[in-house]
Amino acid sequence: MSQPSSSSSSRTSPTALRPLSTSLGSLKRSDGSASFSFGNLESLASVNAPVEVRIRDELTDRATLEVLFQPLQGVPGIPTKTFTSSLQTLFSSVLLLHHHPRSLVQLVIQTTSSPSLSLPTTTTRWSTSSRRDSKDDQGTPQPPPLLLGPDNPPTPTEKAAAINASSLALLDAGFPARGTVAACACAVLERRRGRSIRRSGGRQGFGGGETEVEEEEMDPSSTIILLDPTPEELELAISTHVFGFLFYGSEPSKEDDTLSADLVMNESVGPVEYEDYLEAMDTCRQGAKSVLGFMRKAIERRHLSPSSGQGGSRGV
Amino acid sequence: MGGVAGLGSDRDLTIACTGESIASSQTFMRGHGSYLDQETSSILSSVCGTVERVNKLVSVRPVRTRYSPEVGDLVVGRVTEVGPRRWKVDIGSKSDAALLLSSVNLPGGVQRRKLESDELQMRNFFQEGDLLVAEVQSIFHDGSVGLHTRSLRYGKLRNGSLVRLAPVLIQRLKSHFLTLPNAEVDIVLGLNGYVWVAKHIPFDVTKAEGEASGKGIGMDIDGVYSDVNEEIPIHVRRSISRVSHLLKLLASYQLPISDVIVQKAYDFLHSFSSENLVGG
Repeated sequence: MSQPSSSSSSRTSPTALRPLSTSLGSLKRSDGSASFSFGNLESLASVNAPVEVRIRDELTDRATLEVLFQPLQGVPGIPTKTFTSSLQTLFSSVLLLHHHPRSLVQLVIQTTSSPSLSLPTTTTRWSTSSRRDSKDDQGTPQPPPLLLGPDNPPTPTEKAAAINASSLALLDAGFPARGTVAACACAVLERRRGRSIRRSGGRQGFGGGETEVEEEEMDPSSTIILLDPTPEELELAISTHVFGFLFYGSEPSKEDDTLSADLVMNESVGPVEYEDYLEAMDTCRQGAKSVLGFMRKAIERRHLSPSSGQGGSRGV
Repeated sequence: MGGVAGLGSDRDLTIACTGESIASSQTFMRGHGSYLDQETSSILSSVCGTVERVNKLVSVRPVRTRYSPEVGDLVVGRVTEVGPRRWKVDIGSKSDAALLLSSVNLPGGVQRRKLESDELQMRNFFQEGDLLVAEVQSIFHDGSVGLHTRSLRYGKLRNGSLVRLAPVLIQRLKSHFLTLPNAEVDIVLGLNGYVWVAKHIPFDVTKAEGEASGKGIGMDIDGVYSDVNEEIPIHVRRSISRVSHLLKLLASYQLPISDVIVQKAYDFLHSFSSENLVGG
């Protein structure tokens, strides 16, 4: 069972998540908004629903769903479009769109903070730089901001954070849905490398990591699955996976005994054995359950606090 | 958090999240905010909110929803579009409301007949971006809303500023036109959460009728449909600003807005010396 660890730099278990944090209702003009982070990877989502729809987008029997994603760097291009179309499929199956025909559900997502690799490599494809002042250990100078070129595809953890933020924003907006969606990413690494990265708390990864060598680790084809991978772990991964699950059916008072989890989203990159794939799905399901518990507590806290941000906003 | 739906816990409050099972469909009927899961034949919540049970009916009331209009509601809206013989007005609900040309008072008398020239010059009455106060006349079968301004108190809004609050905080009152005499400020409480705070202008029926009748048939649009603000003195501007901040403050603590509460709050505020107040 994965538990969020206390400090982001000292995760030792392969199934530990980075510290989760969320903030609900930060955007006052939206019907619903939420930010969600895995450690220092943060995503912000805003929902306006149901609102007036343009005649050409109108559907007579259901609400039109519009998903817009803004990458951290670059202008939205083909990789962004691929991701939004996958989110479209995901949320069309989760939201009860037939309850509000001839209206629009507008979901806008943006990655607001993404950790970068501490040692940039020539093979990296996901070199996004952090917007905030990151505590860069090596003192590497940040690449110049505001590249107006094509965007990079979002990393698997970015995708998972975006899905979680969207799910929370939709809950905040109160649009009817079949259940709550939670997502988690994982990476499949060589067992030796994966263990050494996690054991050293993420500090060591590019070396051999010669700690105690167990028999199973001698086999180069044996693999390990790391949940919520950091950029370093993604760099060394053989394959990466994002799984999104729809949770429904539990009693409000009991824990997840009767909780059902349906797989509603999956994107995998890289070669993977079937057993490893099933194990990855299972690990991510456990991770998503932890995320779900965290999300539910955040929603409860918001509803029970006296000034839960429902204040007025000045009209234009 | 709380007990099983229906049973009272010490807080007597059950919060359900989307997808949580709240009752069995064998014993309960499902209401708003819930749906039926075929396989387990249990009722699941489709929104996040508090579970309400009335006899055999279980429903979930979401914490925040958009305003849903009902016939007879007084609303403040902003014109978004000018169409053939009607305007589209944003009232903060699921879809924009329609204000038909036949539902407004045309200058030249309340009984003046609609001319073809009126249809062609609709922007002389309301343009995109204008604020107006109207009443919900009807809800059409497809869910869209029709407004009317067929009263001398309704129509275009001037001389003030708009405050947007959560619609659930506005109580239904006998009259939604309030006055704060010591502030010289008029307040229009729209049930959709849009509140208009303006300079006080005493409402005089005969004068209003005179304005509405205009100077004969034709396109005399002075008076009721004028776009020009009157002169607003500095102390009234300060009052408008203070009352706006006061309303936003009350709303941020989820306090319901009514004439009594606003009057009391402003009196309390007014009892401090005006030099010490910030936000003037």
